[in-house]
Amino acid sequence: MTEHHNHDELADVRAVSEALSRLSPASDQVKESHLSAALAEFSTIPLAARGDRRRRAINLGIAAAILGVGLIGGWMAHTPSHSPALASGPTPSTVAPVKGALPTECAHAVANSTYVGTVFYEGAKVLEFQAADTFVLVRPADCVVVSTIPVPQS
Amino acid sequence: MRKGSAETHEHDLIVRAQRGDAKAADAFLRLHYDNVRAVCHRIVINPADADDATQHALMSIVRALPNFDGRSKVSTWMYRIATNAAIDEVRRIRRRDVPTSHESMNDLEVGGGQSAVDAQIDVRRALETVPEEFRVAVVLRHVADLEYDDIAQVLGVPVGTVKSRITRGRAQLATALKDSSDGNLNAPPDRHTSTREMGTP
Repeated sequence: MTEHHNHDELADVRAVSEALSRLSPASDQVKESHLSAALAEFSTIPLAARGDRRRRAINLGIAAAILGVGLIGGWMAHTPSHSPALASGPTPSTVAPVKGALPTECAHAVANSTYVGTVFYEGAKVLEFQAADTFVLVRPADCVVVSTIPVPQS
Repeated sequence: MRKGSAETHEHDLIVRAQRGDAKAADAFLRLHYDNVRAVCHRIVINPADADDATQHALMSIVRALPNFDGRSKVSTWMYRIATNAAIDEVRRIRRRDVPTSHESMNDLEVGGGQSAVDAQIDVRRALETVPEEFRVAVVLRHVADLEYDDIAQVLGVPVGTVKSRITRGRAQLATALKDSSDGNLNAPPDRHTSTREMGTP
């Protein structure tokens, strides 16, 4: 009984394997069409090389934010507690009102920016960034100025 | 190429593709095109829909390339994607609710003469009689040549379930193939489209 069962199963395996292997190959036209569409998709996806660049940019942005916070901390430590500046920090009026200026209220990472510019804090250059870099914008209240051009500080 | 070196070669192509090398991506897809297509055709059955599934599978593989971390075998990873694309296509067909099998079987491209076409029609009719979950397991075993535990990974079910599905699906398919070649297989009972094909409105 078991031998008979095994024989049947072996016969099934052979029959099924043989039958499933009967598949006409794709025509060259269909195959090339499938492959070219997939490769077109490939050209649009974010890959490791680009990912590394983005990661570097994010790290740069985070570093800038940390530096900004550190500078703020230092500034606050040297500011008398009754100073009105403590509550509000330097006014955002130092942000250059240029076309395409970055949204200074934004406090989170911005990916693939089309902007090129420099970040200043109290007249000192904190960070330069390039188009397509990812960076962190710090709120005006955090005293870091973001602009699309270097801004001379008064 | 030995299996080990073939896997190394595949990994190499993937790593290069992940760095943006389009030629490596092209080589990787060409290397697996026939197998991905075969899996899609045997799961979806209808040739035109299976071609759509093949396209979706290739696109999905490309999109998933950046996330392949080498923790699973390339074949397991790739067939999981291809299987999902094929199953998605089967579900789309169900939602669409159009006749697919017998009509499209008459549209088979002829390659290898009428007897080869007849043989392919027999296989497709036989495949249609096997429930989807059994059919997928049988295809992954006999077309993709995956081991039981790899199939379990692809399908997300225990190995015991895989073995059971393969055994039952294979027995059903073998019977259906015999019936088909004997001319006794007229209608596919597993297809939602079969009622229309059998003449029911």
